[in-house]
Amino acid sequence: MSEANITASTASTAPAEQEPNHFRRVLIAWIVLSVVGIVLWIVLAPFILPAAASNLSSTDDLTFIVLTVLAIPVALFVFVFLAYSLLFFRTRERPTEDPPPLKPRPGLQIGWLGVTGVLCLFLFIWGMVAYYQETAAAATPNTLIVQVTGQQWMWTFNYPQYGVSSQSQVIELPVNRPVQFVVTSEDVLHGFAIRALGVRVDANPGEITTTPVVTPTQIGNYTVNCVEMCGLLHSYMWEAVNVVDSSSFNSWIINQGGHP
Amino acid sequence: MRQHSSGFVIGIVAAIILGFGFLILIWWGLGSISDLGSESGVIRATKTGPNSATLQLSTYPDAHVCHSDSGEPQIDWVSYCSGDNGLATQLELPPNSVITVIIRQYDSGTTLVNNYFGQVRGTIGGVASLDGQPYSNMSQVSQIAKTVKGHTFSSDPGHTFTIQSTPNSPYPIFVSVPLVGVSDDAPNNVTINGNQYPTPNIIEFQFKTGPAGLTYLWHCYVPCGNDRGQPYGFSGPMWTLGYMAGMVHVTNY
Repeated sequence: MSEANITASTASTAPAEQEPNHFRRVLIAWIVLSVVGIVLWIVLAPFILPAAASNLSSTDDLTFIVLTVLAIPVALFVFVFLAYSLLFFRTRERPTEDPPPLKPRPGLQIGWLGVTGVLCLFLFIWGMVAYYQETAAAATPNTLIVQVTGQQWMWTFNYPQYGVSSQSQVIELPVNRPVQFVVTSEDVLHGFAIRALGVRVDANPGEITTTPVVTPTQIGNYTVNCVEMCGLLHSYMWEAVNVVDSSSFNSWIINQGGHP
Repeated sequence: MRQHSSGFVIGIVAAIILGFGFLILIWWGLGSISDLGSESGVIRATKTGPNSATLQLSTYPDAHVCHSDSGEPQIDWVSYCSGDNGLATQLELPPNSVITVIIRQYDSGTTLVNNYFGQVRGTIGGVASLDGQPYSNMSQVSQIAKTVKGHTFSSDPGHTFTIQSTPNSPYPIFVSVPLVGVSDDAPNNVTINGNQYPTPNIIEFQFKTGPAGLTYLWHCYVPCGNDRGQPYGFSGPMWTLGYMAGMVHVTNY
């Protein structure tokens, strides 16, 4: 919006009125809305996010909350300035002359680049630390291995340590025992994801991918979904995930025909 | 009269053209969706008692019996039929009933890529029968072949009949039966609607339905589609409703 237009717009309605300090107004609105948005997000996030039932999902949720806290003021910066400009600098007349040329403002440029650079660096470091935390744990002899095979439109599960397959659309997992999923596909790309456990990995035909070692920490019923569009009935490609105590898990293994 | 700039007029015209183009795209997309499947009427299991019913199906190596009006390549696709005529991919079953499924398998075997589907799962007793002989795994077929005279079997399933639950079903069901294929060298000595097929394997099993109002998905898990093997064995009839996939509705009738 050019100064000429602003002047023309305001001059036509209230010639004696003093031009308000737009920058200060926008800044205050931005700060207030950002604080409100951040507080709202922190309060509501536990109710919005799905259940965190493993060590990985807790880390995931913390990362999601922190990144959203950082994103709220950045997004509001754009929206508040845009909304304010649309509201206060609107005019029905077509501009009759060019706006004044923009002049370099080194302070603004350096500040803008500095703030965004620091933000990006922070996100990078946070991401690297979170990634290390999630993938550092190595499988131990106690780690439960679950072989997962994706096919249009179903997951099947084998427990090689027990010589048994799940007889239905269920993964049974013992609570507080590390588990690693070894995933492949027999036809097209699928995506193996258990949101409550913070697990998600591609299932590629002819390839084997493994998830990080994850420890379920909450007994409960969750779901595994396919998160890669894999065909006509992709939306039906789901299974139940039951996290149970160790004795229930052993009973289930026996029921499936295995040996605990 | 108020004058508009030429850019404004061009913008209006372009918006109208784009709008019509968008509607045409939607129309075309809906037409494409209808091509994804060729569902016909619903096939109901025949009630045989207050809490029992029988469902008769057939599997063919082509689509001449139940998609006789199809062109290439669909006419060569493997297909499930209701008995010896008509499509059979929208199934209706009575609630809380023992369903006896009888499948005539006219197709030959295909090597499984996932041995999980070589086992009978979720049926009453965990078994199915092949020409009257019980089996729970494809590995038992060779033993059965020794006892059934005048009939040879493939060591591989031609198809599976697998019923699975929809997401978060309140009454989950999982039934999977490998349908033993006919031998590759079996003579075509059966004529159905003018088409020649080998003597079918008769596979029978039972399972129990839950309450009314539930919907399940059924599908074949043998790579029996185009070229019968990876990766194209899962294409064509395998990802098209009306051939090797469909829905099961549990309802009162």
